[in-house]
Amino acid sequence: MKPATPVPIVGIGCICSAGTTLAQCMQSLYRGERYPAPPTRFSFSGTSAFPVFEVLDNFFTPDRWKQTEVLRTSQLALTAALEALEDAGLDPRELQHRRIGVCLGTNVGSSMNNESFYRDNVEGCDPYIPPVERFLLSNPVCGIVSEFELNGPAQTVVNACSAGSDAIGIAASWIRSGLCDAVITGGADEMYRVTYAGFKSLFINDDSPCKPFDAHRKGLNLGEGAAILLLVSQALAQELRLGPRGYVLGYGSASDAYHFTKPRPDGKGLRRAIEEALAAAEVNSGDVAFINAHGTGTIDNDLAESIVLSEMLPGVPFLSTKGYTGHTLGASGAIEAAFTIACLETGRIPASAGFSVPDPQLPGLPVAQNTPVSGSVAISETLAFGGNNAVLVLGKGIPTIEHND
Amino acid sequence: MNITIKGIGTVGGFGAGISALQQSLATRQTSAQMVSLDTSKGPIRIPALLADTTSVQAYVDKRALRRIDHYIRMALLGSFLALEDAELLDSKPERMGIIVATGYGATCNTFDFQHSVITAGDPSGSPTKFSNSVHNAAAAHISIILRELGPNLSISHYDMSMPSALLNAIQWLKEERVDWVLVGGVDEFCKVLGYYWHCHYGNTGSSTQATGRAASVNRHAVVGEGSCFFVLTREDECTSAYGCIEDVQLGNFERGRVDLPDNSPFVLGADGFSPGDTRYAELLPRDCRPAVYTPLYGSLPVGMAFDMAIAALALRSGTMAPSPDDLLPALPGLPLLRKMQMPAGKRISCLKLGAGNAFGLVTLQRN
Repeated sequence: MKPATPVPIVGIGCICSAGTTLAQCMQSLYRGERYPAPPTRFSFSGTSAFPVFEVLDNFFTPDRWKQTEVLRTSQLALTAALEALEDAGLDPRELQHRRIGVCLGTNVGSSMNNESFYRDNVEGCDPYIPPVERFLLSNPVCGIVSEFELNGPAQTVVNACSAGSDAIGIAASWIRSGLCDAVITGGADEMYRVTYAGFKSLFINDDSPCKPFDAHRKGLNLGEGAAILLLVSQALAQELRLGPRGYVLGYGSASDAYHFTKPRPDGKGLRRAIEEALAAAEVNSGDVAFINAHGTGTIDNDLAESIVLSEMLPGVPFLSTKGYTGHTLGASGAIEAAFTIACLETGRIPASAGFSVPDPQLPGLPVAQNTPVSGSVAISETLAFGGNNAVLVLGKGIPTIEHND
Repeated sequence: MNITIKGIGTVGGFGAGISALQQSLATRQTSAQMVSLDTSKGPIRIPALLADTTSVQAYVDKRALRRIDHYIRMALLGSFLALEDAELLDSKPERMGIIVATGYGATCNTFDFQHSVITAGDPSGSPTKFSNSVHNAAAAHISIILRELGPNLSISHYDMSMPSALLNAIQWLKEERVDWVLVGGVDEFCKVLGYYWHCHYGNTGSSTQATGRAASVNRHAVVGEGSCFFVLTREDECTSAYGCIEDVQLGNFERGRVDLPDNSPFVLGADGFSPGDTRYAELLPRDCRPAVYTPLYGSLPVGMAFDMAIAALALRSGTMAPSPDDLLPALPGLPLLRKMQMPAGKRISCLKLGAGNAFGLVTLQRN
């Protein structure tokens, strides 16, 4: 495998239950605030309503998007994209006529699961199809391409819960190969009743606020949101005088090849992904300041992850931020990458929300309070249905590489 | 460095395997089945090119197939046929990545799960149907059955899913992340999609509810399903009879340029359904005689995978099959390849124009 050239991240946008901008989110995380509550955007006839992490409806989206029944997932993505461009100091018009790609991860945003259409169809009501057509044409990637009038490759990654991380890794690859001058990348997903019912059917929801890596963890809480990272080539960064907030240093991904909904207990796929990402970044495990773990709060995920982290990155502090955001599915890898960069900037990681009682079965445990970290490199990792594992090595600067040869 | 095609596996309304596809190209026929749909005006019947996956049992243990649905079976069958064609079935290569493109995902499971939630109440959804409805279900099951721990990626970008997947496959090979990539597309028919189809075509070929789709090109569209996979590797010299992938382009043809290769025959993904079907003549050279094979495999988002397979077979044989003229959609301003063209030349490009003026261009080349 060839070493990966660092790719500048010049703008970041983030929206989730913790806040409608990245700055708001980080403030909320460092204060230890979290807002799980029963879902308000749909009704559910189950015996108990599991808490979720919803985004308040007052977030900014252009009016024309609200009027044309654009998917909520796409509205979340656009909101984060607008923040990312503003963060970079870029007028969207500056992107036109350049090779700008869009690569996002999502789940709900790409599924043809329009419930009202289907309900009418099974009831023999001949549902009207334009809403489905709009659904098919307004996934978050198509929405951003259309909004900013872009002309580069556009791609929707649907690797379940690792989609956001995979999208960022792919986007960095497009920059390195010269395919694009810039890529709008990240992930987005909305709270949706069918997804909620699906996770309930798997019995992996916690009926209380989730407790990643805690001895009393019972499962995950769903969340929604989006995060967008604007990656650019070094040449474009110089031309437009864009200062990097961080870098994508490396990316690795691997499969468990084990079970569709359970992580491989020995974490073999995750190990391979971490090894690949560190090797691509030419970073040693000792250089890693902290790890933003996947940490869903399910029994199996947290056990496998804890084992792998304690063996591969012993002593490196780690946390899960899902206690603040819920599991935002295709957005989670992107949201957590955004948090990781923000933590590198401040030199501090928030307490792993929900963790208080150590589980004796877990060889590694997350930080229980806000913790200072030193160093310029961190890892953000995601695990997914289907046994996907995706790992990003992110930096606030380009690490100095010492070669022995 | 060349990105070489070492094997092709395909299943669709024409049958399973490249020999079935070649037979279909030679006879210019496939067998559409009539599928019954319920509407408020009573049952209707629409033609559909459906895939038979019975032969997947030759490759996958019956017990393993118990909880594997038709969508995943199509993907598995295409994958195994491609590995077999590449002579890699008995000795799976090291360092292989898997990439699956799908326009709609596992639609039957997606709608079945919704059905169980709607009809039996929220808490009654089937966990198996839910997990198999996730878009990466096919890619995950391929990796589980092949025990392949390499990178695994699922792309769902409607008509552009297949060229997007190829773009990543090429990146992986060039970056030396892997030495082999199993990459392909899969889409399935379900009755909800059939209804959607019916709304566009109706009984007369005219759109009954369509928004902005040209009715004139819909007349001959038949919904299709199937999968088509390729085994790709990296070689200094292209030694494969199927040739190599010279170029993949993705973008928007209204806002940017499409760099069409010189002296290349074109295979167009005009399936009678895509909004871009009416725009090919604007982009192609005047003396171009493109071929269209969509009537043989049907209209489905990952149709470009089948066009690539046909192009690779043409490079191998040196013969480009004529378009199935009696079944073709009308393409304004484009005279199509109607007679056998000999030889095919060293290069063939597959072009797909999709929704929102998106385009995907894949050029195959043989030394």
